[in-house]
Amino acid sequence: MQRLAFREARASPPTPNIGAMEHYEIRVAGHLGQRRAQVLGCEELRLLPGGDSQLTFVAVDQAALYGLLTRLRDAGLELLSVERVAAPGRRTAGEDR
Amino acid sequence: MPVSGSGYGERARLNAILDRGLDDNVRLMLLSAPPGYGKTLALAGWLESRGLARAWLSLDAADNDLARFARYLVAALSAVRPGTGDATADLFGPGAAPDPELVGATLLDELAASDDPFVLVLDDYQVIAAEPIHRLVRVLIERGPPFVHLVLLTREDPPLPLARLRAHGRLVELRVDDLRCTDEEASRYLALAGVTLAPPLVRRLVERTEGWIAGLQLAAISMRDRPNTDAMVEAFGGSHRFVFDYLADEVLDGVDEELRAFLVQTSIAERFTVELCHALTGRDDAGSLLERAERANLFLVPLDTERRWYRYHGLFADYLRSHLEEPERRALHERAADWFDGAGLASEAIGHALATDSVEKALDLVERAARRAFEAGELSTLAGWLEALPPERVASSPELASWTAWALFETGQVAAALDLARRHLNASGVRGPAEGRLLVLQALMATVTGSDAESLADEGLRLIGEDELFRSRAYQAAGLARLARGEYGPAVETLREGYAAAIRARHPMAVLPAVNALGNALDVAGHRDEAEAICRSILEGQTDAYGRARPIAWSARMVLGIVRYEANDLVEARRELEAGFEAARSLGVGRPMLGWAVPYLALVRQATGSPEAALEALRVSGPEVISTGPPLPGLGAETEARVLLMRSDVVAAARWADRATPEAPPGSPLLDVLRRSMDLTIARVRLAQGRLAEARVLLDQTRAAQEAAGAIAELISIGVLEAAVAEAAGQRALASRELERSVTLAAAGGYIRRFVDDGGSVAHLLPLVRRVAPVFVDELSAAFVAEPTRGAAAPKDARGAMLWQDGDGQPLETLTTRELDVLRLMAQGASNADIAAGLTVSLGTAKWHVGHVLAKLGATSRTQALVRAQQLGLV
Repeated sequence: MQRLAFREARASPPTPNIGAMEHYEIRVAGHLGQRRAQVLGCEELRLLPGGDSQLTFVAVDQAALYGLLTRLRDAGLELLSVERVAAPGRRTAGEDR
Repeated sequence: MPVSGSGYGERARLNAILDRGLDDNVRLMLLSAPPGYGKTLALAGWLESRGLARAWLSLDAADNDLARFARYLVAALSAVRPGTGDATADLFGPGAAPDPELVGATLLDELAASDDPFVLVLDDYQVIAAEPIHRLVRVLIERGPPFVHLVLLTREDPPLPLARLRAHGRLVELRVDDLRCTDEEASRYLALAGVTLAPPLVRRLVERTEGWIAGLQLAAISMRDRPNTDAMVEAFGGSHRFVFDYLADEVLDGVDEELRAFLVQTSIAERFTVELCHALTGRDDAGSLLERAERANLFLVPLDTERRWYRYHGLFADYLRSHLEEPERRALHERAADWFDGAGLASEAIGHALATDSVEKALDLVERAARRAFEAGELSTLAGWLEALPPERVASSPELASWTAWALFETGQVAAALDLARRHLNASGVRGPAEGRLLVLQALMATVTGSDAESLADEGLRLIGEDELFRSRAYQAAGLARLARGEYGPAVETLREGYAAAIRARHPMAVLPAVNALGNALDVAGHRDEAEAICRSILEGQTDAYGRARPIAWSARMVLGIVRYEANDLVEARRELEAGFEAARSLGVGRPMLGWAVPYLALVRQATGSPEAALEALRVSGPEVISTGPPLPGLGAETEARVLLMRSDVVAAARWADRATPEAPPGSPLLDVLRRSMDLTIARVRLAQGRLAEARVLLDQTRAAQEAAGAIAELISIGVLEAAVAEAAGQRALASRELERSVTLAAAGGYIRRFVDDGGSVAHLLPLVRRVAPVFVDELSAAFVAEPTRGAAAPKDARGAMLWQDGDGQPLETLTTRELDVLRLMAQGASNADIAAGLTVSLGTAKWHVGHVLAKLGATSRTQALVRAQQLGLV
C-alpha cells in the first residue's frame, strides 16, 4: 500500500533556485488572445503568420512543465511543439540573429 | 451523470462503432480526445438510443483516493444494481488498506449475482493519477464479465494495457478523428440550432473548426440571432484554426452585462445549484439566469434528472474563469467554501478554502472533516488536505495532530506517528479528546516496547469520553498489556469491554481487531467455547449471498480456525485458518498482528499432511506487510521445533532447544510469556530425548507461572506432558493423576487437540480417568482412534460444495448458485450454446461461467470437471 508523505514542520519553506529555471517555447494551433496568455502565465506571446501561436514560458522544473502542458490541453489548445531554449536576450555561441 | 439531449441529432456513424463494444470479447470501450469533441454527448446519445442500463461515475481530482473512488463507484452502481456494493464498501474503514485486486475481485463477485447487462462509465478519467485506482480498473478490464461493459472517457490515453487490448480486438475506441463533425453532421446541428448556411459555408466553418464540436457550438450561438450569417462566415477571414477563446469572445460580446457577470462568477465552482449561484452572485433571480443560459445553449450541463446540480463544460468554465481578477476570485472562493460547508460537502468546501489562501478557514474545515475521512479509510484524501496546510499549524492543532498521527500509524509509519504524538503531547498544556487519542496510540505501541501501556490507556480513556471507536482501541491496549504480563483473567475482562465498545462503534473494521485479541485471551484462559460462539455470531453477519464469509471477517475466521483446532476438527480448522490468513493479507493486515495465530496455521498444516507448507507458514517471506497494530513477535523458531518433533526429527529439534532464546525486544513485557511458551516446547524435546528429569523441572517451573497467570489452555498441555513424563518414568499412578487434572481443566471448554498433540503415550490411560468427565473422555478416545487414519477429507458443506484441491490441501471457494446450475447443465451434456440458451444469457457469459466452474474444480477440461464433480457428490 502506498506510503503517505507527511511534511515535517520546517523553520521556513525552501526558496526555488532561480538559476535552475528553464525557458520553453511552445507552439499551439490558432491565434491566442492576450488575456488567455496572461492567465496561463506566459512570458511572451507571438502570433505567427502561418496561423499558429508561440508562447514562451519559464518553468522551474519538469513537473511544472508537465502541469503547464495539461493546462494548455484543458484550455482546448492543440499542441504542436515544445522546445527548450536559451533565455531570450542571451544567444548561444555561434548562433545567427 | 450528465443528462443528454443536446440536439446534435443521432450520430449513426458513431453509434455503429460503439455498438461493437457490446460484443462479448470486447473488454474496454475508450473515448479518448481533447476537451470539446463531444465525447460525453456521443456516449450519452448512444446509451439513449440503445436503451442501455448504465452506471455513470464523473471523476474529479479528489477521487484519487482508492477508498473514496470505491465509495463513489459503489454509489454509481447502485443506480443499476440496487443493494450491490456492501461487501466492497466494508473493505474500507479505519485501519484498512485493501489490495486493489481484492477490491476488484470483491466487486466483480457482487456484480456476478445477476447477469443483466449494463454499461459502467468512468467520465474524465484523465484526472486519475493514483496507481491503486489504475490497478483496480485493470482488474475490472481483465476479469470483468461480458455483461459489464466498461467505458472510459478521457482527454488522454490512460496507463492501461491499450496496445495489447487493441491487438487482440478487445478494445473499441472513439478518437478525435472519429469524433470530428462531418459536413453533414455539422449542417444538421446548425439547423437544429436555428442556423441556415449554404453548403460551401458549412464546409468553411467545418474547416476552420476542424470539426471541433465546441467551436461549432460557439459559432452557432454567434450566428443564430444575426441576420447576415453568410457575411459572418466570410468575415472569419484567414485560414488559421479557431481557438475556443476567439469564438467564445464573440459569443460573450453578444450576451448582456447581467448574464455575462453571472456566468463569470458562477464559473468558480466545479458544480453548482441555484442556491449556490445565489450565494456567489447575490442575485435572487439566479434561477432564471440559469434558465436563460441553458436556453442560449451556453455549455450548461445538468448533472441529474431533477435538474438540481449543474456544471459548465470544462472549456467554457476555464474560459469564464480567465476573466476573473484576483480579489474577486478570492472572494468567490470564500463564498463557495462557506456554502459547501453549510451544505455538508466537506471535500469541495476544503478545496475552495485552500484556494483562498485563508488558512484559518481551511484549518477549521479540515479539522471538522478529518474524522469522517479517517473513519472511511480515505487516508489519501486526508493526507492531501494536511499537506496543503502549513505544517506548523497542523502540528499545533490538537485535532489535526491526532488524525495525522493515526493516519501515519495506520499506514505503517509507526516511528513518525509516535514522534508526532510525543511532540504534541509534550507541547500541549491542555488535554482533551485529541490528546486522549494520541495517548491510546502510545498505549498500543507500549504493549510491546514499554511498560506503561495500561496507565496510558487509562488516561486516554478518561480523555476521549464517549468515542467508542477509540475506547475499543484503548481497552485493546490495556488488555494486551495484561496478557503480556500473564494475567489472563483480567486480560479477558478488559478485552471483553473492548469488544463490546467495538460493537457499539458499529464499524466492522473496529470489531475485527478486537476479536483478534479477545479470541487469543479467551482461548488461553480456558473459554474456548465462548471464543467459538463469538466468531460464529460475527460470521453470521458477515456472509454474502452465497454463504461465503467476507474478507473483512478475517479475524473471526482465524480465531475460529484456532478454536476448531483446539477442538480437533482439523478440516474446519485448516479451512478457516487458511482463508483467514489470505483475507488478512489482501486487506493489508500486518503480519505482526497475526503473530499469535501463525503457530496454529503451521500445526494444522502439519497435521493435515502438508509438512512443507507447515514450515512455509513460519517464514516471513515476501514484501514486508505493514503493521496496523502493535507488533507481536512470532513464535517462529519454537513452532518449527514442534513441527520437527511431530516429524520425529528429535535431533534437529534438540539443536533448537539447546540454544533457544525468546524473540522479543529487550525489556519487552512479552519476554515472560514467550519464555514460558518456549520452556514448554523445550520440555517436549527433553521428553523425546528421554531426559526426563530436565523435562520435569521445566514443566514444574512453567506450571507454577501459568497457574498464577490463569493460562488454562497451557496448563492442560503441561498436565498431559507431566503425565507422559511420569509414564515414561514408570510412575503410572502419577501419570493418571496428571492426566485427570488436565481432563478436568479441558472438559468444560472442549480442548481435545492438546491431548492428541502431546498425549499419544498416555492415551491408554484414558479409561482410568473416565469418571471425571465421561462424555469428554470418550471424545478424546475417539480422537486418538481417528488420528492415524486422518487424511485430506473432502466434506460437503450444506450450503454449497466445499472443495479441496489435491496435493497441497488448499481449500477452494464454493460454487455460486449460478455456477451449480451451469455444472448441472454440463452434466447433461450441454454445450456452451445450450447453456446460454438454457439460462438466457449471452454465449460469452455462459463461457465465462463455465470457465469459473472449471477453475474452482481444479479441472482443465469439461470431462475432468465432471469427474471431480461426481467424486464430490455435486452431480
